[in-house]
Amino acid sequence: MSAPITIYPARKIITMNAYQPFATHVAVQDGKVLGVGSLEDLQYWGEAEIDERFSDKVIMPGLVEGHSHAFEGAIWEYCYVGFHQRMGPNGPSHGGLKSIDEVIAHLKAEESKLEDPEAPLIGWGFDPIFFTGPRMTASDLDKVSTTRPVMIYHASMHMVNVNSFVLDKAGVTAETPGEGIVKDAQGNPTGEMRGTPAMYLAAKVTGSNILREAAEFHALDNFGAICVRTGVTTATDLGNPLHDDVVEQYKSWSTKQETPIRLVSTYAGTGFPAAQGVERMKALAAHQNDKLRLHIVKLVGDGSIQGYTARLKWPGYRDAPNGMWYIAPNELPEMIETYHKAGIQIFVHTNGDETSEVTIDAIEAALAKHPRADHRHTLQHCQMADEAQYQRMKALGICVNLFSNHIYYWGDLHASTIIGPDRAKRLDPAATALKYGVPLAMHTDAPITPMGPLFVAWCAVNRLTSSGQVLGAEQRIGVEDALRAITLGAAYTLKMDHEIGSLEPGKWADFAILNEDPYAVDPAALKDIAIWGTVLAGQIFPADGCEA
Amino acid sequence: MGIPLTIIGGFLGAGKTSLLNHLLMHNEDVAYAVLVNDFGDLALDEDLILSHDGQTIALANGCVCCSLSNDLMETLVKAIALKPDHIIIEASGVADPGRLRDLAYLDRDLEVGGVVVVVDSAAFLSQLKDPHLTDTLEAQVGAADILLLNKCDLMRERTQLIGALRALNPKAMLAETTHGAFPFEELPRLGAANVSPTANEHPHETVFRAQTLRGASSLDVASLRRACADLPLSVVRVKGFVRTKDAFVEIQRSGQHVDIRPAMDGTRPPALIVIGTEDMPSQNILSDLLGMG
Repeated sequence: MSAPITIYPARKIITMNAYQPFATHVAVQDGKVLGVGSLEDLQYWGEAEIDERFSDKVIMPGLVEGHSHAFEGAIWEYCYVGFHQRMGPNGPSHGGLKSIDEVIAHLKAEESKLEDPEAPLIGWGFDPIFFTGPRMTASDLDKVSTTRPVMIYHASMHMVNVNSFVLDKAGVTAETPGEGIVKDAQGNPTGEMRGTPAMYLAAKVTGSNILREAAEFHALDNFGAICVRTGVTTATDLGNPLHDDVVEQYKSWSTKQETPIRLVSTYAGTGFPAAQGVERMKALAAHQNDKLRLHIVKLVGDGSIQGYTARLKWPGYRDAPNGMWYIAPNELPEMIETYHKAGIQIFVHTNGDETSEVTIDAIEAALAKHPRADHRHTLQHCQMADEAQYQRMKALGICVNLFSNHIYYWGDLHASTIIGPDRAKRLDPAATALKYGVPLAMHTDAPITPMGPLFVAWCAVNRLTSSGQVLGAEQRIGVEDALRAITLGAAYTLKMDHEIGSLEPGKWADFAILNEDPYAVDPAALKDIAIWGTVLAGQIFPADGCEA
Repeated sequence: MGIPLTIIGGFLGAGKTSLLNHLLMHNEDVAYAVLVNDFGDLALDEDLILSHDGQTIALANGCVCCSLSNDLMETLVKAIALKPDHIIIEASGVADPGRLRDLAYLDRDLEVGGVVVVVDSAAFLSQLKDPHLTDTLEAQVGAADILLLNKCDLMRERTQLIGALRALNPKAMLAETTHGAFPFEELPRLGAANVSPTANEHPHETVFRAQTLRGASSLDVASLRRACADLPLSVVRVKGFVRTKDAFVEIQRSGQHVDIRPAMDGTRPPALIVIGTEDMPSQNILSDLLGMG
């Protein structure tokens, strides 16, 4: 007896497979796509149950978030106070707080819910670059509480605001030295604390470390719920030390029936000898399953552009010295060669163009010594690479996964301040990648920006900044290319395109269920398409049923 | 009194790990907590390891190594709770160690133990010419309170090297060593305790050297005491353990003051560390003077 067959009729099915891009019906058996086409086509397989629940919906291949962090699930333990509304595990979050007063009011409401009088109140996502007027001070946060620690992380995660309770407990006064303690014109600490030492002190006194790794089930369940709400069926956890305890947690979570995603967790190789990493990854291979993959190493080459820590080629930054190497440029070739030679796929975080160049050089050298077809080494972010670098990437078989959300969230700042208008126009150049045939994916880097591949696609299609300017019109791409990048394109960079990313016989029945047709809506509304939920290996996950 | 915190920086291959290995294996009365990114490179004596849980290695001599792989904050809080005598953070080979300097000013559980930047005396000048590395090396050298010139046995172009370092950092103290043989507990004495959050005011023109003497002394305790006291003024510090004709002793010489007493712990590795200015006698002459030739 073969397993039962279910046929789902839909308003439209976008298959992302080249021989049959659209269909009206998809048949599922054993968690896999048995076929797509018309009802008549699928009746070839014999008796089937017709399930009409998606008949007014649009079915796409489950979206693939090729560069995110499972930490996105843990951070909802804390109070989100961002300027932009953001999808959380229980639906669109509060957020959207447009002034300091609104932030304070929201924190007050959250404070009143705390039962333990000594528990700290921790917020995140505060983004004063969008506010005019005075910056937040300790006395603002004193309105929330004077008897418990209150600490608010900025969106960058490189700065916090604290209340007077925290300043007092830390012993921070006008006399406290150090550039991390921000002071007002009178020399008194304002409550802003910047950089590692000052943030260490604030976190120590507060007794809370938001940046801790979190592999607890409820955090992972939150992560899964956010994925369902954004149509994601395969998500990545990019750069995890993958200690034994984390691997055990991931293994047992991934094998739960109600886990709604496939999780690809890449091994964080930065800072460790590559030979040791190769051994670790060989051991990790045994722990994989259909919903957990641990086959890629991630190396971090530099920092971030908006933090002035990405490594830039000449002319660099106008207002700051060049950024920081996270891996020395003369060490990276040896690391890449070691992983490459061992047959391991490599992701390299390269924000600045000096880092992408050094990385391309290193991959070229490794390939010259150890030729290897179809390695799919991928430059992650790769936001500033120029056409010459893209041509080399094509020649060397290197893929790219662009951080297109930067255009919206930091595009104005990049153009006005950080790298200037010229280079900002070629930020995350999706059209260049397509022009030279470099395999293309695009990502949110959640929680750095909110999870949501359709928003990323919207960014690449429209290239609108948050102030409404078009940044680099020539780099806009079409809707079809953008949708490919968040499905099959991302799957390709994960070397999973034979299993996911399009709807065709033999691939997993992983779907994103949309209320609207992305080809029919105005491209400017791509980000607003409501998502009903997802299907993973034939199992249905409605967004509204996924309260975490 | 807080726990002194020292940051060790320096480019890849400069010898940060040698320094730490030396510290962990040859310390005498100081319980160090050393925070490192990776235990892999530490050449710890198996016999010295009391316990190893993947995050922390406890050594029989009271030292402890903590892995930074989870998080600086959690690791440092944990290290402070262990109440060591001295905490050392090894910054990564590409990091600017100056970025961690303020930890010791801000946390009242800590006191300043300075930023030590290890320089590969053999390779520094050529690395400095690599356009991908120039600014990273400049920032590291600029952040130092003490520049520790390592691999001095392989040093070429000493004048050019010191000139280049002085151009980048006119104020740091220079010390020369080989194989990372440098006694960390001397840092406050050598001036690191006097540094301020904004670099110190007075240039230290003195270049210090550290030498390690091994082997037994043919002198008896009384003669060794005299020999030690008679060492030239260019020797500022002698410390360690040595087997004399009649006993196994611990020596501490600070300035002209010499303290020699029977070693409480007979298992200490016999080695004398001698620190002095650059015109201090050579290793061979020092050995002769102390009957260790």
